[in-house]
Order: sequence, then C-alpha cells, then structure tokens
Amino acid sequence: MLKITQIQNKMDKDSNKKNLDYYLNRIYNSNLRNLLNKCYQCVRCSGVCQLSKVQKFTPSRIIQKILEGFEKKVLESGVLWDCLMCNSCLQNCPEDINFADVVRIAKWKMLTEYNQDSEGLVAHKGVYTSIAEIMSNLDVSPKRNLDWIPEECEISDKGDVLYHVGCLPFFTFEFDNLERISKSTLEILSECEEDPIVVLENEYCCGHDLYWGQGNLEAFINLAIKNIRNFENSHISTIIVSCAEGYRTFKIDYPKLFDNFSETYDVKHIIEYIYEKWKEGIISFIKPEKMDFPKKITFHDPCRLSRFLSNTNIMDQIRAILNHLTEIGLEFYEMKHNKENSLCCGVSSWTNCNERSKALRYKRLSEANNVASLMLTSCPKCIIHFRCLKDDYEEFSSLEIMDITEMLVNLIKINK
Amino acid sequence: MEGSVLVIGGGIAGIQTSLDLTELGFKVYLVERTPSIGGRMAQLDKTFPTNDCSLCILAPKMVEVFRNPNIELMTYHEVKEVEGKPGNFEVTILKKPRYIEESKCKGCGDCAAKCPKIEVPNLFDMNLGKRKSIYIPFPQAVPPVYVIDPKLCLKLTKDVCGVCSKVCKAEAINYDQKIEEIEIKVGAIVVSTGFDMFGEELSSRWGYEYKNVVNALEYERILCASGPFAGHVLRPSDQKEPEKIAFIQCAGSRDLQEGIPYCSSVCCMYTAKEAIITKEHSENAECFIFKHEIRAFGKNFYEFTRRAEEEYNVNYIQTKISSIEEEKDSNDLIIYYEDLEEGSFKDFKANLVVLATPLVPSIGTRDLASILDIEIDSYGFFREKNSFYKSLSSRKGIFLTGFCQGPLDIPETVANASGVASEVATLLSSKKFTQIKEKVFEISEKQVKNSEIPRIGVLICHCGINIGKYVNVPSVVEYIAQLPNVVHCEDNLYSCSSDSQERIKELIIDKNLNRFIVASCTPRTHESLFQETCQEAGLNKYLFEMVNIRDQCSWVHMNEIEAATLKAKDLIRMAVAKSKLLIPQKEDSLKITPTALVIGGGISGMTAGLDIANKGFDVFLIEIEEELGGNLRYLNKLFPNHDKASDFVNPIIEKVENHNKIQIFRNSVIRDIKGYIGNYNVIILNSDKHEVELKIGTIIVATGAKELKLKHISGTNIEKESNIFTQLELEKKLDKKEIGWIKKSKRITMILCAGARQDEGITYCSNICCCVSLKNIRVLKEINPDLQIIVLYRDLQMAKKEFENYYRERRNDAIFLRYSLDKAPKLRKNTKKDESYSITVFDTNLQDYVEIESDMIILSTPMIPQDGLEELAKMLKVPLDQSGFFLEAHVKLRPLDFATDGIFLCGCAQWPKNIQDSISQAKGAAGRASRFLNAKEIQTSGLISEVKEGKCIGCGKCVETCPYNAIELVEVSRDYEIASLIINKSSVNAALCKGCGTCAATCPVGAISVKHYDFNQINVMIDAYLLEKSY
Repeated sequence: MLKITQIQNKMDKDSNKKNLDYYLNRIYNSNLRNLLNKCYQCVRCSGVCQLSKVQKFTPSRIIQKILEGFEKKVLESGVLWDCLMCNSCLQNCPEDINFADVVRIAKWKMLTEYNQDSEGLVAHKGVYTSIAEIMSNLDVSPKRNLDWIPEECEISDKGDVLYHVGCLPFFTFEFDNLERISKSTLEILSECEEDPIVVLENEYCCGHDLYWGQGNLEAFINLAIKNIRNFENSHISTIIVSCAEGYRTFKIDYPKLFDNFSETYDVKHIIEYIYEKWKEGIISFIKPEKMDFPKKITFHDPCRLSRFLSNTNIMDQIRAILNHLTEIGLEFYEMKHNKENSLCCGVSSWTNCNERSKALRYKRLSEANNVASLMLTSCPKCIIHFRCLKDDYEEFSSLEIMDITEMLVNLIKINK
Repeated sequence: MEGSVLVIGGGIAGIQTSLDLTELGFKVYLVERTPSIGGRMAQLDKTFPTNDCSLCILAPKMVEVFRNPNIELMTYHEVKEVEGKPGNFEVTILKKPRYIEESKCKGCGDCAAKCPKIEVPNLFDMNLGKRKSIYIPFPQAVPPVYVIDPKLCLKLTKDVCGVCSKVCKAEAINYDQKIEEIEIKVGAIVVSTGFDMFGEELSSRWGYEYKNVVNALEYERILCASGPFAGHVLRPSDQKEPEKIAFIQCAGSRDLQEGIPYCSSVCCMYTAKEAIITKEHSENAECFIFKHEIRAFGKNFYEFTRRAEEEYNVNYIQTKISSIEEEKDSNDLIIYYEDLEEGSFKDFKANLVVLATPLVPSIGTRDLASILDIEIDSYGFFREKNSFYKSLSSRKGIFLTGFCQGPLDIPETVANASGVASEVATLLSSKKFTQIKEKVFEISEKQVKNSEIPRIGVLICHCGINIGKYVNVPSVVEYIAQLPNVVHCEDNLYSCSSDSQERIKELIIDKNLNRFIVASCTPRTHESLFQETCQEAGLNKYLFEMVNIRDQCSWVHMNEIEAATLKAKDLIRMAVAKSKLLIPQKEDSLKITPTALVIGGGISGMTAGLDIANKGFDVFLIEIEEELGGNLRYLNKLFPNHDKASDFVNPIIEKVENHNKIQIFRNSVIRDIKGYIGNYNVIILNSDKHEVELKIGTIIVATGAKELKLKHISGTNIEKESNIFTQLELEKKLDKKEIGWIKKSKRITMILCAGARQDEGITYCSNICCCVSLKNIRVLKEINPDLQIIVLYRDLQMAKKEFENYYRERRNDAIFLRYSLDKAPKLRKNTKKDESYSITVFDTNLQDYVEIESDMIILSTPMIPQDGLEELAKMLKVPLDQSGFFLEAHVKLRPLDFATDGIFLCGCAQWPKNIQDSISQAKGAAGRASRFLNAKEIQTSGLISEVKEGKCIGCGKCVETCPYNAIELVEVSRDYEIASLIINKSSVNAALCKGCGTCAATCPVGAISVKHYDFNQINVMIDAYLLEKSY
C-alpha cells in the first residue's frame, strides 16, 4: 500500500500545492483534444444522448468544435454544465470516448481558468455540495449525527468492516424517510457480521459530487486523502456502501489516486454483499408475516451502478436476487429500458432540477408505472427526485418508490 | 366643515388614530404635551405574549407619523381652548418653548454632550436614569429634536454658560423662544391622553417610599436594555442583583377605602411577563407573585400565566397583603400577608418589591375635560356617551380612544383607535381628501439603461459631530472619491437639511449622475426623504442607496476612530459596488373594487357593514342563518345597564336591512374566494341554492363564536338533565314570558369555568362568562328576590371599570364560593327528591368542604369557534390559532388585520368578547378596510420578488413559506419529444408581495430573486468587502 499517511505527515499548508499537483495529474488532463481525438463523428452519441430529448444538446457537435480548436468558445459558453453525465454516449461510442469524463475535466478548467461559477447550476443552491466543500478543508473534522443508528446495532470506530454512510444523514434535513436506507443497511450488516460494524462519527464525504458535479478536483482530492487517513486509523479492510455514487467513487475513482487502493480495501455495494452472503448460505429470503409493500416490482438501474461500472456484475446480481424472490410470492418485471440502457433520473451529482429534467423523470416513472407498482433502486438521489415528481402527478399515485435495502431488510433471514 | 382632525395625545392610541385617519383622507394635527410621541408603550421593555421589544415594534409607527406629510406633529404643545361645533372646531394650541428651532435641530446630540449642567432624573426612565438640562427624552424620540429644561438651564436661569449654542453647528439654539399661540380649524377632535401609574399616591402600607419598592413602570425601565441599569436586573438602593423579587398585584387597586375602586386590567399579564423576563435576565433570581386572583381573559392570556408558572418556575401565591416594611440595614423588604390557600398569616423577605399599582387617567385629564367641555366619570376617566359606544364623549364631534376612557390593553387600544378613526371619517366624509397633500414631481424621470456607465454621486454626512467626531469623514471622502465610477463625493454637516436636498438635486442634474448614495444615519427614518429628493431631480428612487455610518460606525465604535473610519469606508465601498447594479424599478398601481364583503351578520358584522356603507361603499353581508343578529338574538338583558337585548339589536338590524348600500344574503354560504386585495371574486351559494358571483375589494371576517355544550360535568352525564343548563339556555328561557319556574325555585347554583381553563380541552378563559353570570344573578333576583343563588368560581375575570361596583352589589345577591381546578365541584343527583342535585365543593376561602342542595344548576361554559372555520380559513388563505379562532397579523399592533392585505377580522371570530369590544373592533375593522376602498387604487412596491419561470421547478416551497400568501402555483404545459406534461410554476402577486425575500432564500433552484436586493447585488457587496483590491 502506498504510504499515504506518511506522505500526509509531510503535507502541511506549504506543501499542499505540490501534493495537489501530484494527485491532480492522475485525474486531470488539460488537453481536451487529446482525449477526444479518436472521434470520427459517427454521431451515435448525440442520437442516444438523454438530455438531447429535452433540450438542444449534441455531444458530437461539442466534440467537433473542441477538435476544431474552439475549446475556449465551448467552455466560455458554459454549455457543458448542462450535461447529465449519464454515460449513455460512452455506452454507444465505438471508440470508447468517455465524454462524461471529459466534461468532468472541463469543469475543473471552467472553474479555475474561466472563473465560472457552478453555484446557479447546483441543486438546492449548493447546500449539500457546500457541506462537502467545507469538509474538504484540511482543518475541518465533522461530528456527524449518529442518532439514526438503531438501538440493536452496535457500532465501533475500529474494526474490519466499515459502513460508509455517505450523505444520507444530511439529506434527511430536507427529505423524508431517507434514514430508512442507512438503518436497513446497518441492520443487515450487523446481523451478518460477528464484530461491530465500523461507523465513523468523523466520516467524510466521498467527494463524488465535487468530482462530477462541480468539477472541484482539489476539494475531491482533499476529501480522498482525509478518507484514507480515517480508513487507516480504524484498521478496516472492507468498505461497504449503500449508494450508487459512493460505490463508483470508491471502486473506480479512488484507485486512480492511490496505487494500492484496490488491493488494500475490498469495496462492496450492499447488494453485492447480500448476494455473496446469500450464495454462501448465510442469508436466505423468507416471506415476511406482513407484506406491507406491493408485490409487483421493478428495478431502476442508477447510472453509477450500470453504465459507470463496466467490470462488475452487480446488475446481474440484483436480478438474480429479484428473480429468486418470485419464490416467496413477489413478481419482478423489467422496464423497457433497463440495465446499461436504463433511462436517467434527470439529475446526477446534484445538478440542478428543472422542467426538462422533470420530463426525463416523467418518462422514467411512466415506464415503471407500466410494469410494476413498486420501483426499487439503489441511489438515494434517484429516490429523492423520483419521489418528488411522483407527488406532483396523480397518474403515479399508485407507484411506490423504495431503496432495495428497505425492502430486503424485511425478507432476510440469517442462518448462523 | 373641515377635512382635518385634532388628535390629543401621542401614545399608541393617538398614533394609530392619526395614521388611519390620513389613510381615510384627513389631515391630522397630533398634539402631544411631552417632547416626543410614543407614550407609555415606548417606556415598556418587552410586550407579552411574544416578548417583542416594545419600542422596536412601536418605533416604525412613530417614524411613519414623523414622515407622513399629512400629519402635523405638534409635540411639546398643549390645547388651550376649543370653540365651535362638530365639523367646525376652532382650537387654540400653546406651543411651549423648546428653546430650539425644530426645523434646524438634526438631533445630533452635540449640545447635550457638552452641556455642563449636572444631571437630573430622567422622567422617561421613571426618574431612575439621568439626563442633562438640554436633552432628548430617549434615543428613538420622534421628532428627533432636543429640548431645554428652563428650570435647570444655566443660561435661562442665570444667563451664564450658553455652551450648547456655541457647539450647535446647525445654529438651532434659541434662548429667546416664548410661548406661542397657534389657531387651527378642525372638523373633529380625538382625545387619547392615556394614563399615569400610581407611586407616591399609594397608601403607606404598600411601602412605596422604600428604595427597593418600585412600581411596575419603573421596573420596566430597570429591565430595559436602554434603561438606567442597561438591562441588568439591579435594585435601586445598592445596585446589586436581587435574589428574591416579590411582585405584588392589585397594590391599591380594587380598593374602595384606600385606593382606587376599579381593576386596571393589564397588571396580571404584565406581571407574568415581567417575571418571565426577569428569569430570562438572571437565572438566580426567584420570582414570587402575590396575587389575589388572576385575570387573564384575553387571547392566550391564561395559557401565558400557566407558562410563567410551569416553564419559568415563577411562584404564584394567593394572598392578601397586610403591609410591607423595610429591614433597616439590608434595605430588604418584609411582606406581611395572609396566605389564602392555607389560611395562615405569614411574612416574606424580598430583596426587591415590584408593585402593580393602579393605572389612573393621566394628570391634567380634568383640566382638559373642562377645556373640551366634556364630562368625566366617577373614576376620573372621560365619560363615554353610551356604554356600547365607548368612543363617543358627551360632546358631539369629540371622540375618546385608549386608556383615557377606561382600562384597556395595547391590542384593545389599537383596535379602538382604528374604530375611532373610522367614526371620525364617517362624520366628516363629505370633506375627505380636501386637505390631503399629494406629492407631484415636476421633473420627469430620466431613463437609465442597464448598459449606461454608472455615474455615482456620494454624500457623506457629519451629522454635526455625531458622526464627524468618531469617523474621519474627510479621509472617507478622499477614499470614496477615487473609487471607479464615483463621479463626485463630498461631505456636509447635515445631509437631511433642506439646503442639502437642494444640493443633492443640483449634483444629480449638473453632473448627470445616474446613481446616488448618502452615507449618514438610518434608512428607517431617512431613506424615503432622500429617495424623494432623487425623484425630484428625475432619478428613479430605486437608484438611490443609503449607508448607515452613524449607528454602524460612530455609535458602536465611539472609542475607536480608526476602526470606525475604516468600517465607514468598507460600508460605503460596498454600497458603491451595489449601486452599479441598481436597476430603475417601476411601481404599478392596482385598481380597487370599492365593495366590501362582510362574513357574518351578528353585532360585529352588522356594525362593520353599517360603518362601511355609511362611508358610501357597497357592502355585501352574508349570514349563514335566516336571521341577522347572531348570538344577541338569544340574549335577554345586557350588561351593565340591563337594557333589553332586543331593544338594542332590533334597531340595528332594521338599519342594516333598510340601508340602500347593503345587500344581505341570508341562509347563504361562501363557495369560493379567488383573487387578492381589491380584486376578489367571491362565489356565494344563496338561499335559493344559486351561485352568485360578487366582485369584492376587501373582506371582513365576523363569523362570531358559539357556546360550548358540555356532555359531562364531574363525571355525571348531564345531557338529559332538564334542570342543568348553560347561561345561554338560561337567557333563552328568561326571554320567554313563562317564568313561573323561577318563582318556584329555592336555590340555584352557578358553576363558572365549566369546561374552561382546563389542563386539557379548552385551556383558555373565555372572557365574558363571569360577567354574564353576574348579570344573570341580578336578573334572577329581580324576578324572585327570595331565590338563593350560589356561585362557584375560580377567579373573576372582568376588568371593565364598571365591573367592580357591579360585582360588589351582586355579593349581596349571592353567595360566592371559590374552588380550585384540582378540587372541582362534585355533582350528585338526588334520587329521593325529584330533579334536585347536591353539589360538594371545597371552598378555598373556608378551607373546607361545603355541600349544597340545589334545584337547578347553571353552567358558565366557554365560547368556542364557530363550525366550518377551517374551510373558510382555507378559502381566505388566512390562519387559525391553536384554539381554532382566526389568527390576526400581530397580536399587539395589528389586532384587526390578517397578514394578507385586504382581509380584516373583528368580534368573536378573533376571540370571545363582549358587545362593547365587538362593536369597537367592528368599527376598527371597517376603518381598516375603508382605507383601501377609499384609495380607489393602490401602489405596488417596486421592491418585490420576481420568478424566473424557466428555472422554477414548481416545488411549491415558496408558496408554503410566504408569510403574505403572495405566491401561488400556476400550471403550464410543456411538450417534449419523450413526454408531454403539466408543470407547476410559481407566480408572485405584486399586490400582496412585501419584498421580504423569504421565498428567494427558500427557493432550492434560485429561481426567485427580490428586486433591488437580488443575489448579484448582495454578492457584489460581499465581494467588495472581502476582495477590496478588485474594487
């Protein structure tokens, strides 16, 4: 493992800049043209671009402009802030051009070189991203509210398995019932594990929204470093997350910064964890005494668990579990667009909601409504935004939206 | 006939009357004999129940008076003579010499700072604080003009000194001023001379002569942050913190032998408030309230006293006080008292004693009565002409408002003042708007485009030496002058003087300025003056910006000239940055449909309807029942005169029915209300079940209240008991000819607070029941003098001045037994004797159980809200309080308004109240509503919020948070390739928006901004502060 703490020990305010450059080089490339130059204008991307269905937005034209040397014009116009970064384009690109990642890089450029301000483009006036930014400050150590932890779950600040709770407890200030996700996750983990689960009172944000949404790479790097320090202090080896964004961040983006990250830490999404325990025979699914949710279910694949993770089979694991549940009386149906073709919830990384993103959500909920009466997913932000839209439209009144853990916690039996 | 009114007395009553009168179209001469308006309310520390700072909520109204071009403010004046008749009074007013030219004095205070005369007690601080011989009564005084005390001034008494004249840069001092006589002509006179509080007048047993015994007004000053001890609770003798404070209620009140006979009405509540504030100020202080009984009959009053007891650990002791004596060395006080709960005699040592002493008509009331030729009553208050119309004096054309006519609290006073204004307006309605000034600007507004380069002018004020001594003004000028876009910057002595206004105009025109900034005192008092000056020079008033370098710099950093100067530079630099982004705003006008809808045809609704109709506006009166008259229809006789209720109400019903401006809808309900002030569309379902659509300008809610029907009392089911009934049922029975049953009865028991003031259920006191019970005792006794009446009561809650005597008479008619909530009367039906009951009650006076045999039981149950209020409230978009009554905009100062403009309330819809108060409120509500009807159109402010439709996601958070109901969601349709959907968008009603900005702060997507205070304008100020170099 890279001796991150050792590097960090040297890292005071004066050497911060040097450190920043060291890490920045790993996730930033100032030459956008180089990243795009394989493009031969097949324009598949613009055809599948989800945003283009509701507003004028053509990735291929943007790429072309940059390749022709009009990068400055593109960045000045601020048009890239609109990109949903859903990765539908990459999914269809014959040359594997990662447009979303180029947008992410461009955002850092727009922030630092063009003095653009993402404030007006961030949802909820940047309250949540500001919390992350404040946490990224090297002098700040958060003291998080742990009141949500169920009484029967014992937690510790040292141990093997860490549950990285993420932003969920912050969102509960504004959105209802989200703590059920973290509660359910912790309950499942606590039942499966012998030792107390590690939940840190000074847990930092993973940095996902700063990385993708604001393009504030410096803050992201600082958060990553602070997180590593925490991990090392608590001697953990497994990191469990219950959200799509955190999973992608720890699984893909942290290893880019830290060489031995993947070898040192086993990053698991809670679904992956449940799947493994099920296969090991530790978990089995039973029909609960009272089924207080609809039995016709479907699953909305968050982009971060589908198009953003080429190397895992988590989408199949989810389906294996959901199909298995038909044995206890549930029915599973796929939406028209599923897995890597899943439609976007319209908002990723706290980009701003607007009437166009509502149209995207409307479309997605219509698909869900056509096949099921319970839509499961595994991304708190998808849930927040779908629930918000659902409340506004009579036609979705019979559709329920839940996190998959909220449902599974009722069905799981531990065989020890 | 004259279109002007004389108001005598500048307390809250006079202020409210004056403000309402100008809006109703009349010029006001406001005469106040002290140097400032504000009255007693300005002296209070906090006001209950919200514990708002009293002066903070009053000062804006004082400033409004000061700035109102149609109020001639005559402070330090007195009325000398009145001649003439209603409509044409000729009044001689004495202008007492201030020895200061009011027009020149800028209130800077340079004079008082240098005045060498030793300090003397300050009357505003109830003589606890000190002032110089040239002084201003208190910092927020209106007008902000100094006055010289001729008895103390060395120049005036001995012709030496004269320092103030030397230091006054405004040359405002004039030692030669003499008393002047001023003649004015007015159409009507309103008297609002208020009250004084007993001190030295008290009987010696209250110990007022001791240093550590203060009356409650003195204690208010002690509590007040701007008071003599800067808000620390200290006792006068040694300025140490008292540990035990005794509050003694009824000190000298309700005392026929040694004090005054009536109850002052407000003491129970201010005592509870003072005790709570004391606890908040100093945790160690223990508060003991020596009460005889609690009179907490207003909205949430009783609950407030319970809070004092339960949340703040204030100790209430039920006592009678024998005497108070001082302990020699410690200056502590020994209170000798009888503990009425235990029946024993005790003594109590306190470090400080606060006396709730009687409030009496202010000194000079008798003299004024003879000048005005109006009568006074046996208590020394001005006598009302009629007990139901308390605002009429014995002389036509002269009106009474506020405490000068009898005890009232602040909200009652404000409601009453609005009512009087309305009555005056009706009397003089043929002359309205004849003496009102309206501002016309000669130079037309020049166009300022956003693209134009800002040309900023800055004026920085020395305010004599008030600012100039603590801020290095020339260095600020030098610094500001070099900022980009600042075309001109200069300083002057007094920016508010009239020559400065000319200078501002000259600068704007000569230098072709398109922005202007004044850095001086507070925008609260002066912004509108400068805005008007800009308008006179053709500059849109929203291109003006004001910086307060007096309060923010020179006042708070008196000892740090460098820091104060730096801060002044920062603040002005920020304003310069903002001013570049200022945009000219337009003020739209909005037509008002000159009609009123009155909801409810009881006494309140009818009074309000008549009042508005008499001003010439069309009134639609809707009543859910067939008959007009409301609860009054069921009453028998009326307190206190025992007139027949029908004799009182029938002529009013007749007037309403015959009024050609009033259209009555009987058996009708409201189906729907849409729109906003001036433009409501109301749909009524009339008696034929047809929908009628009305165009309405303003709405008055007068839905009344109803009596609670109890099913059980002390566990006994009483639904089927024909000899147990409520006071209202008694009234109905009494109204019938058949009264043989009373002659047959031997003993009747009345149980007060039945179902009221409970721990659960109805927690409040319903105000009128004690009075109704006492009245019915007299009625019953008149019919059957041999009837025995027993009254079971907890506290007697009635504070009208005539009540105490009335109650004393009734003690001869009935036996009064007092019970407590924890030992409520027990009821048993006698099985042997038919239809009789035995009641067991623990009498707290006797400290023993008493058993009563009774033929009949009459329950005084509380009034509760009418049915269906929730639905109505929803249609009106106005709130209800926790008891289910309508919730007014502000409990103290806006008792008749809703937060939403255009809707008003009165009578029992707001809170249970008696006929007098209902009438007084109804007139007030009518007056408040008529201000809008009068105006024909109203100006919307340019300072309102604005929604960017494209950004709005229709989440509705702004709708929920808007305190004025100014935002609603409208549906728009959007078509996309993948879906067509209806999306909500919020829409701001300019007529209702007050520009508070709550919506802008709440909007999660930043779609809302407030004009003139938008996020860019605020950000650029923050940037200008933090990033000095870039500006």
